[in-house]
Amino acid sequence: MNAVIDRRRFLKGTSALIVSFAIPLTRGRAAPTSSAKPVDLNTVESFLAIAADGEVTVYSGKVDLGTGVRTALAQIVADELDVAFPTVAVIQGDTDLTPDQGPTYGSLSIQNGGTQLRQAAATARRALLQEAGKRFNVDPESLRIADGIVIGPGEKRVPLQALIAPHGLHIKMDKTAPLKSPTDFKLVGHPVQRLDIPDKVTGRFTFMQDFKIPGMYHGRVVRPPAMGATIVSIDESSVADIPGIFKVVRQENFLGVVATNEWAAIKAARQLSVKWSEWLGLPDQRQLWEHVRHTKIVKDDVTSHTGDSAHALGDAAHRIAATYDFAIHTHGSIGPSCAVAHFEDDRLICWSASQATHNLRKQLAAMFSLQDEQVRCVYIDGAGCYGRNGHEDAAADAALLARAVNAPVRVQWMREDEHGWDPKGPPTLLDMRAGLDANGKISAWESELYIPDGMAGFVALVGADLAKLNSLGTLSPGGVLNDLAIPYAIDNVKTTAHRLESTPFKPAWIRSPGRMQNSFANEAFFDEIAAHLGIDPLEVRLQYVHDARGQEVLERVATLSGWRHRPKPDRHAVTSVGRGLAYVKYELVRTYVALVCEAEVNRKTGEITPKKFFVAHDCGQIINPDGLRNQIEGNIVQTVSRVMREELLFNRSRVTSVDWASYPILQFPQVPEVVMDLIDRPNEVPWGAGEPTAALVPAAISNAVFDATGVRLRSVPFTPDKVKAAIARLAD
Amino acid sequence: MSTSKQAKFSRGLVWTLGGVIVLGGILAYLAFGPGATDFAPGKRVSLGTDGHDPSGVPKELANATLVERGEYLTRAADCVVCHTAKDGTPFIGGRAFVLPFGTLYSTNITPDVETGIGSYSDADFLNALHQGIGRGGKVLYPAMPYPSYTLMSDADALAIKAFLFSLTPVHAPTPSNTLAFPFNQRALMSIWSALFNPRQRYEPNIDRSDDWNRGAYLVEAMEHCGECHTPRNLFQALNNRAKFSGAVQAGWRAYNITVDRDSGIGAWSDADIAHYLSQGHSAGHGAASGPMGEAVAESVSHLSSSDTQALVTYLRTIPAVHSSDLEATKLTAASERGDVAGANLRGKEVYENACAGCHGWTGVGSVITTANLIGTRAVNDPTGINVAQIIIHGGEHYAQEQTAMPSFDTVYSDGDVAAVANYVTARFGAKATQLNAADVAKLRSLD
Amino acid sequence: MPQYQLDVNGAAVIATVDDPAMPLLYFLRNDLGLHGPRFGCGLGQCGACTVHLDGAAIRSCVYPIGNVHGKVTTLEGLGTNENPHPVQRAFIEEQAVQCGYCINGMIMQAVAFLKRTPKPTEEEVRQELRPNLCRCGTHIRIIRAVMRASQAK
Repeated sequence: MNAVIDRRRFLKGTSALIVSFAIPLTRGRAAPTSSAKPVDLNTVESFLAIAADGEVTVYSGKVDLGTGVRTALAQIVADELDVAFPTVAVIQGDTDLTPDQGPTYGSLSIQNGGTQLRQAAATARRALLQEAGKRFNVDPESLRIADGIVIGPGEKRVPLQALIAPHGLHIKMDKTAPLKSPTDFKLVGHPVQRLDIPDKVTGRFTFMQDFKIPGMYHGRVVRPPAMGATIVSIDESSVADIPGIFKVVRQENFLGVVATNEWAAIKAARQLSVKWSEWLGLPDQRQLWEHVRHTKIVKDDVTSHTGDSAHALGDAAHRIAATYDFAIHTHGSIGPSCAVAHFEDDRLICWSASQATHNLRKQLAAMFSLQDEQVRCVYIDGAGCYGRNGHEDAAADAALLARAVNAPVRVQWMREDEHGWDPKGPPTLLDMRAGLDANGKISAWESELYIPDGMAGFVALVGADLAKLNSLGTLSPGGVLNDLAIPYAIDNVKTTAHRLESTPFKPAWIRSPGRMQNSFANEAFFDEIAAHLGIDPLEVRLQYVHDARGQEVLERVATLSGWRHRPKPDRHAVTSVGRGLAYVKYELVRTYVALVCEAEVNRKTGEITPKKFFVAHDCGQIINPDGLRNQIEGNIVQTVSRVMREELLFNRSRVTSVDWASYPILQFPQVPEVVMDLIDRPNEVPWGAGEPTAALVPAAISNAVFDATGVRLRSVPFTPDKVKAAIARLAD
Repeated sequence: MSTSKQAKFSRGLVWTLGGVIVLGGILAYLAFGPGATDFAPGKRVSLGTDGHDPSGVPKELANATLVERGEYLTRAADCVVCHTAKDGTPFIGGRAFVLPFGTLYSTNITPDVETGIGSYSDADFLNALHQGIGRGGKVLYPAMPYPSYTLMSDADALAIKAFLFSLTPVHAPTPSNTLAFPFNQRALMSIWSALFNPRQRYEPNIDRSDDWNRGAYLVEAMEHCGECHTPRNLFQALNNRAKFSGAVQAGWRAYNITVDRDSGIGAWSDADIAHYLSQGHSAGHGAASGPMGEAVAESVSHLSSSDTQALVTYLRTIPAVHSSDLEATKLTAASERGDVAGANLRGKEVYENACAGCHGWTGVGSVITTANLIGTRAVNDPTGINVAQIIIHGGEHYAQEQTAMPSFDTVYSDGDVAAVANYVTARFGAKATQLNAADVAKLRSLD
Repeated sequence: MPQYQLDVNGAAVIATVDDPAMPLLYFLRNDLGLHGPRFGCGLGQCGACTVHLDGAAIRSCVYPIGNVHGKVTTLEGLGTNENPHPVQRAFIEEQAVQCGYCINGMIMQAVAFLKRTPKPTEEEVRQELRPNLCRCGTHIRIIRAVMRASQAK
């Protein structure tokens, strides 16, 4: 039976080494890698181990965030090695044990992480078959593997694990090692049930929030009531009467409480009497877009430039322009961030649900003036985080408290910590322009994006900032330039990103960062052009998509949704139903998606009800079709929530939307129906599906609203007030 | 004209004039009622005569600086609640007042020159508080309770100004009001003001104690309790003939605080009232919620104990007025199990899901004592609107050691909120309410 | 310190806690080491903490332990991997999980609901689960799983 987090498995490792939490530590500075297990990207043993009893362990730097990746990776390895699926377990995100395959984001876990694993397994397979060939004195080509047993002519059998010695799997990755043909896959491409679901459904699963170690204290953070406030005074006697309170910890403006039981920590954090300074450093929420537009620009990134769009616009017979904006969103994890930290000898071990434990390790090392090797970060699944939420920050908080009390400390963020302090998807503004020539051809396309500078780097840790420690943080909104460039063959295009010096809240990536906002503007504006031309939005896209796979998803979604026979809505009825289309080739280099939304609009109340979504999806080779469906549904439902109602609320001092009442998300009665056409191309590269469909939801809804009412929604979220105002403007 | 026609005309004229006089009398009766403290007989003198002066700050602050005294008085006048948007930055305005004829926004009273009161002189400030006229002659809407603040002494008003001018100026333009004609005509408000603003400072009643006068000054000139708790007449002015007998403000019921035993606070002890005002809660009577929760949290709870005592002294003398729809509160707890209302299954399900833990099946809330529902006014109100509102908004957080009730806004549907409110009033109150989903939707829309 | 006698998943336990206002959730998770009920908000707004008290779904994060009278059942008490409750089985069959953090609340609420309404319509399921929040967007499968469980009985 597959072990999800199996302490026994964890402790066994390969025949060559013993792995445990209590790794003997070397004293002194610049300690070498404290385990004998390799983690470099060129060695098979970094990724795979086969134990003496035949159990296969996969070491993955990419982690499962609730996406089913753990299962998919196990499928890949089991198929390449021909081992029984239940014998494969996955260890993820442990800086001592797993290679640094980069952070888990950008829908790249299967595409990159899976590909590396597949190579490792293929290399191992070839090496082990060669060894078997030597022992049986036969050509390795005559051998096959079934359920982990190598079978040769004359029914000679030897289990894989017996072939490990003497080299072990300490061999170089071989890109030429033959990969299994898709026709031979037993697991990949099949809807294998996820390994973690039974435990999650019976309460056996250990989430980060469930993790405990002996001697552990409970900590809570005490954040300032204004984000830049400083501590004036603390009255520790205000919590002295709470049984179980152990210590009040302060470092500069970092403040936390440590107790022997969780409830005591919660009460102490609420009850601690602290005087903070005043701070009014946030902009007026009502003037947010003026603030964004007038923020200093540090540079321009021109992400695509063909022909001469300025000239073409000047010459155009018709010009259209529009501005789009997208509100600040919070990740909104259902399970607030949580971490456990422990300083032992001169090593720091930190358990967290970080998507990027190798990066976190470097940040914590910097914060505590340690060498990277002195820090071990271990991933334990948290709740869905959808990007960089507070997991890393909780780790820093736990480490600060653990050091202060010289014992392990668990920090659980409360709901107001999570909503109030995790990094946010920054506010995004886009100015769009297009030119049409006299023949109705789109002759020019320009877009200007206003977005903070930086990419997906290290996000400064809240605890470090408050404690005035360096956590290597830089402005890191994520790969927000992606999909500013368009997948349409227009002759004169210029897409420019104005990189802003600052943004109101610490930014970080949140599902389909930049790509969602850019695709919103692109696909809604393209629809505006279609309306201006009087051409059907599908037909005009087919004219400008010169890519066979792109055309195919468009045709498939048209068939699936009955697009070409769709009814024409009565734009003056109180309620009418409209349909909108959106298309993307994700980042111009991978997953193709076409999406149709069917939405009902009530002109009187301004309520929009997205009722049904039709998706055509081409992500190349599908590893797990059911996992893929699950991801696409999640993409759509989560993004409907973001688009319809989500908006961070704040005053001059702090975030004010700090619970679910003030930051409501979609609930069951509002969840739409989803139908899909999944295109499987087993011979192609497997691309990701965690984000691409999400990027299309805002435009698909906006375009459906236009179809239903003639009103264009250019500002996320699409609240009833905005809809009513837009309808009123149209009437004028 | 012929004689008979002349006679007819004269008779007609007499009848018409008589009608006008009678009508005028009725209108005058309606319009010009008693003043705020007219219910108490006694001799009045002007403020400061013979040392009769209940204005200013309590003894403890006698040696405080002008700004410190101003801070206390700003608290007492509760400026911050109206001049702060929901969850907004204090004093920069932007709070929306949703009225039947449109929405008003409160203004920025930080000393920002461009968008606040930074260019106000002392005379401007007194003009605003006492006359209801802003700088430049702009007539203020009586959402700004100047008919109450007019009673405030000049010295107190200027101390408040000194405190406001000590705040960090914040650039925050006030959103435009969206009032329908003719309410958007400020000039019409000057007529209203001429009729209904008493335009005079508080006059001590020398036949009453100092404590009573201090209480009267705090209640009428500073806390302006009547602006919420006194019903209004045809002209939207306070009807002091029914002083403090209650009114509905933005979907919340401000209850009867006269000495009436059944529908007012006559059955409360002095300690009950004092505790409610200083802690926001009174065992067996209720918790200050919604607008009153804000008033207690931001204003009343900050008063000195001597001032709180003065409030009690004064409130004890408000003549009884009975609210016809409010019965005496039910004082017996519900039984441990078993249903009272029977058919409200959905209400029971919701109650069981999220409420029974703290509030209990008996309604007593034995572990979290502030969760006790028995005897509370809101639960014993046949309109049930405050119960629905508290479910939507949650409780105030002013008492640190209390576990505050969370907000269930958006968590439960309009229908579920109505069902559980009806369940609660039926099970724990004197009379079951009959709220429906549309009622709750309406309350949510007033936010 | 006050002591409370509780029945949790059929076992008699004694809770020794100094504060009767401590929500039941922390006792179940820390003292009994149960993983089923989860901390999601501590405000009764998301449902991740749901357990049964005499078969009724309650929010353990706002239920003071001093008020707990009756039998407490958590996710672990409903069924096991080897012997899952029909609703748990339906969730596995429908693969109705993404990150899984909200699933405890969904299952506990659904089980209590199906006892009251054994054959619900899809609309009734949506209304019943409205107060249970899911951020990953697993709603479509959760509805299918609950409907499947209701049809299996």
